[in-house]
Amino acid sequence: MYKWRRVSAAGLLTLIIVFELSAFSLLAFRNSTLDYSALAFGAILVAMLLFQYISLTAIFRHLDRYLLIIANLLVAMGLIIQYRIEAAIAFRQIIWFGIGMLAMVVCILFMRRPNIFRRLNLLILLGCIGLLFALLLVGSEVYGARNWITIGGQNFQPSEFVKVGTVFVLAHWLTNSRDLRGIWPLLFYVFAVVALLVVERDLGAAVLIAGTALIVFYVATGSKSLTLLGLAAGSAGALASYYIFDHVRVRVAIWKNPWATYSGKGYQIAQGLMAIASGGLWGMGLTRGSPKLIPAYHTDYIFAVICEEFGVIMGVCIIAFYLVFIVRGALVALNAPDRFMMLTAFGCTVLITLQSFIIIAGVIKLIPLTGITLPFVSYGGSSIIASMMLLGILEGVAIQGGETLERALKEMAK
Amino acid sequence: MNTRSNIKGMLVIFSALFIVLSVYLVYILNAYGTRWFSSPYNTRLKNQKNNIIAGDILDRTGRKLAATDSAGDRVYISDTSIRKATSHTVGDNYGQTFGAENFFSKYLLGFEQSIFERITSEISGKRSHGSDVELTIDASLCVAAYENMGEHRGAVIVINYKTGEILACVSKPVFDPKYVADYLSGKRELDKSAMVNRATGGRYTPGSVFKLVTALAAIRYLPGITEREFTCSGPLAFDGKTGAYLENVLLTPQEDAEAKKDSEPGMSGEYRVIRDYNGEYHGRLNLKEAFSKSCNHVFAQLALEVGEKRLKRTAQELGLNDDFLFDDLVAASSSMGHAKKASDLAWLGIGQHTSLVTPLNMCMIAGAVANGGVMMEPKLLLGVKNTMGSNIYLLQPEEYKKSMSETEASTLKAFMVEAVKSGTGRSARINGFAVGGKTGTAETSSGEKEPNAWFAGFVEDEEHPLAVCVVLEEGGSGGKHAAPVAREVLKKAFALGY
Repeated sequence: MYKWRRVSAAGLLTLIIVFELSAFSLLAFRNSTLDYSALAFGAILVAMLLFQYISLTAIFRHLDRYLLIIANLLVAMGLIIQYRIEAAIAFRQIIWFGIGMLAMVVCILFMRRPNIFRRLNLLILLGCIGLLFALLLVGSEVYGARNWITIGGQNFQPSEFVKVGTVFVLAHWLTNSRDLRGIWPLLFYVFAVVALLVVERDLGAAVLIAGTALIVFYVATGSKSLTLLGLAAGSAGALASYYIFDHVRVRVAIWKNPWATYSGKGYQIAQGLMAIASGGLWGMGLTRGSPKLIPAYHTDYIFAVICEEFGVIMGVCIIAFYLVFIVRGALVALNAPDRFMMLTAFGCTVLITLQSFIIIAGVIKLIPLTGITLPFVSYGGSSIIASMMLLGILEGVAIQGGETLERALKEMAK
Repeated sequence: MNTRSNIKGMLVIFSALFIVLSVYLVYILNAYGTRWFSSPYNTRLKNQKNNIIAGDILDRTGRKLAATDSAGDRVYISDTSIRKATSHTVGDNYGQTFGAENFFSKYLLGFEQSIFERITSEISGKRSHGSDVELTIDASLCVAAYENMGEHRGAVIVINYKTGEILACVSKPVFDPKYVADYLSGKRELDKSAMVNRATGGRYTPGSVFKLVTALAAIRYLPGITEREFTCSGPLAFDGKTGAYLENVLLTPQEDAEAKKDSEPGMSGEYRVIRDYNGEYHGRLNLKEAFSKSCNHVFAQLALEVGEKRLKRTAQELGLNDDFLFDDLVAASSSMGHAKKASDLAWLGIGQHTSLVTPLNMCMIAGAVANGGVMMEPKLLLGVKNTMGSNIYLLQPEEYKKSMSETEASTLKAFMVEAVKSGTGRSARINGFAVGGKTGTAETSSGEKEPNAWFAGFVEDEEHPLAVCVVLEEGGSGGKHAAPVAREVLKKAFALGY
């Protein structure tokens, strides 16, 4: 069994390398002159993948290979599209990816001493709220949402890191207490964060954090009545925001019929749908589409671009990759050595689940669109670093779980 | 600890969510892909037109309705009457209509070409050709329909009810595809709403053709109805204010004629009334006779007896309120209105009030009756030939829905044949052929204009499985004006061998 797993992981790895190399060769030959930098880019990407895989699996025998491989595949998918649109973007992104790799390793190492996060919990809690509060004062507005902060010439999106912080806050408070009185700081935290995000018009992040909190709360306490109450409160809040905020009403209206306001608010959704329809089942082919027609083509809407060039078939594959990632993430949580780590790992999984679901479903008009990035795939430094941190936390728990199990087996053998 | 089982439970929900996501993605591509792709907003099409020589559009006899000349411009058939009669079906080159030019642009502009074809054209460096599209229409039949409509606005549609192939589809007023650029720049005048394809997209008050729906509902839900004897004693009376049906108020035609003089339209003294066409009254008659004479009295009563819910369910099974996401064409949906009071329901039963039906839908219904209850999906694309001359698509008839049982269909068929033999549809009679049909004279809201004339019918013949629908706006009586058009169009179709 174990052997088969290794072989199939290696097979998947080979497949990805072939995919990456052929994609970048295609990109290199797209113009009349050979683009050497595309070849170099592909080579660097493959080298990064192999280096990560070989070194990490050598150091940590219990690393979850599939989580690592799928995350890398998704990142590669994003980089291919970004390179195809504008090489400069991809070069910037691959640097962020490198930083993200470091962040992942740091998270793996920190998870060896998970108590650090428990002792520092109040700090994380207050830090996240403070960060969002600071955003209100000094943040800058992009696409109608006040969710960027500029430090030393670089733009950051604090809500991405607040997501990671939320995972620890949730896991910490829900590890011990199961009744509402014991977790009032957590309730206060979730309420404050969601309220701040709504005020900053970062609706995607607000929905994401509220949803994650609710699901992790349910899993930890098993209280159906309280969860339903939370769900009702959330729905009431959503309904209220529909009546209070203009931009929420607009979102719902363009979801119902994007074509009615094609030249205005509905433009992005309509363009996305036309891109998907133009790609058809098998896609127009890499470099054959017109991704720049869609606003936010390299960030929130990258899924539509993938569908246009690689076809709906690849769209379905991407959805399947996320599902495999989620299943592996949940397995890591189930095999975690203690309750805190279980909840932490599951929190990370829920974040990835909801985030990928909300944006893909928004792009294909299943639900109203709320702008968030597609984890691992979308362009954006904060986004990819945060996603890699979530991966690192998951891997950290997987390693701890594996080692604990091994120790237990050895004890039994004695 | 139950946290573990909760995690497993959530995992199941997550998996379900992601499966829904991928199923929905494939579903929207299937259901809406062509519509979104051929949307006039899709600038990819405009860009592609510069890179590729668009393919030809042919009718079923091989006539070239649209082609690209050596200068790369789109040219249309030189025969002006063909150009006009087929204008809505062929469409335009500027994304103004949902005709073949736009809806089949995937083929015409070569978006469907295989990687092999693309690479070959890439290497050769020539502007590659799109595929040729062959339509199911016969241009001569379209011209015949167009000419028989005379000066009227409206629509004619002829469908082979066994295969669903659309043989003719004409909408008036027409535009000339040759001059669309001029219409857009204002250099040429265009008739009001001439770009709308009334055959597939015109939503008309059905009038008495809706009695097909009411008759089917009655046959289905009222056992023994075909044996029952009715008495058409004059107008049907409703309470003037509440609209409640007043079963015991019997207005003789004389009383009604007296009271009518000083009343508003639709009223007779204090009563709200439903009268028969031209104030006729039919005396004793059975359902078949009532249908063939198009008796409002009987059908309004039937609607009340069947009830709104069952009438609506029957209408739904005949395609009303459907989205009509056909593979080959864009069609507006028909709809049956809501009844707030009894008089509304009675009006709905005879096709007035707020129901709106497209000629295409009515033609499909007539076809389903003739086809043993099976409604075929209307098809417009006969085939697609790529540049190497091989067929990459061939029409496959598809059942749209089974809208009634075979017994119900044969009863209705007999009714419709009777209506043409001796009833309101007599002008549609053709010697030597069993033609069936239903006429309609639909009052439009204003009441000042002439009513719209309808005829929906079929030929009951293995060799000539044709369904036809004619609508003439402000055409007057359906029996007098629409039925003869249907007759002439069918005769032409026989002459052409359909």
